[in-house]
Amino acid sequence: MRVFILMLSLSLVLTSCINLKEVNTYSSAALRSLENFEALGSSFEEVCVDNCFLVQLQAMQLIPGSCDCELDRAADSITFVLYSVVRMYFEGLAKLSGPEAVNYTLAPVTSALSEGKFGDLTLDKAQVEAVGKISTILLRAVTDGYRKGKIAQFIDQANGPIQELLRFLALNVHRNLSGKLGVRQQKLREYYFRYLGDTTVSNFERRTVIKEYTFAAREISNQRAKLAAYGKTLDRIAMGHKELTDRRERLGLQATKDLLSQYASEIRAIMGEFNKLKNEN
Amino acid sequence: MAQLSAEEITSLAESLSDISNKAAEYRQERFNDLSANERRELSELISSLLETADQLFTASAVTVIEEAQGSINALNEVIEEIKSTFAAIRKVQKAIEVTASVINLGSALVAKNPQAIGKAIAGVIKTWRTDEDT
Repeated sequence: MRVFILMLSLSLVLTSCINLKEVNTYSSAALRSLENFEALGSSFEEVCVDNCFLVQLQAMQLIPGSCDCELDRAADSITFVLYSVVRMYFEGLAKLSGPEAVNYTLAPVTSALSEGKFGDLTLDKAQVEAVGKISTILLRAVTDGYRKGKIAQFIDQANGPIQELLRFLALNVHRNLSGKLGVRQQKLREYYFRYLGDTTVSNFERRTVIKEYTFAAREISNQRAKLAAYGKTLDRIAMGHKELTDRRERLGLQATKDLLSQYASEIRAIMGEFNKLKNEN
Repeated sequence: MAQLSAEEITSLAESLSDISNKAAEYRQERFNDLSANERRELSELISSLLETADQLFTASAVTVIEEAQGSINALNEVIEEIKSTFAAIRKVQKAIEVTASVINLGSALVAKNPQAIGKAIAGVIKTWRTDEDT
């Protein structure tokens, strides 16, 4: 009977560990890729300031402090708030599902037992070790079961808000900021186009203008590609979280584990794509 | 008039940006057919479209906060719950330490060793207080 209980506890621990491991793999991958936000390398305010300088360049005058980018600064702050909240959630989920949460040491108890004499009873080393091992297994079984239940509850509670916030973050990064960069590229084209249409400009100057524009356009394209990769990551994170929510009561199933691993590797693959673009800059 | 959502403002900005791009392509293709006046007018139209699109992209990014506030509050609540659950799980380690100090006390009491009893009681109190601090 005792062996049966021990086996049952052991299997409970192993099952729980695997479930939590998959949640941890997914949430850790999501967290790491989200943190690429800090390496995006462009901001609303930056684009605004660059555009303002272009206007001054066209007018052939430089007026320090004349760029009004207040609203763009606000757009950056709002985007940062969205990122921070989403990041904090995945950080919490990764921590709670990770080994750090239940990394208990029973050494103080086993040490107290081995040193103590309890009336006529003295425990030998092997018995103390056995008590330590069984206690660890039971402790993990209880805490993992508790964690599993809590995590399923949190995932369900968070799914609505996280889907919306990931969508808004993607809107701001992938469409609004990238859209502004696209507009900037067109503004640059307009600026250089004027020189190309000017008959008083020499061929040497034309070549210089074309070179400058090509360089600037390439840089903007690279920035936009990074934002697109980040947007794709957000999309995968959202899909992964939805699957996690739908299958929260079946976290132990092989199909769920495979799916979560797939999302985690897709997120990592996009992160690799992003890092490649980051290094090209 | 109903207020546009952030997503609708972005779509509008994207459309304006597309139109200005198409106008620039048209100008490029028909450059020699256009008079100087037509070219200037087209350039002014493109610049104006670009300026509006630029402002709309920023406006959308700012509008997002009004729509996201409810979700931010809801997610913050979940984050707080996660933090307190994590803290509760970590407290198990403190409970283990308290248990160990109680075992030491039990052992000292059984052995009827006054010096060890005093030390063990102090140990229990110390561990307990550390537990309260965390």
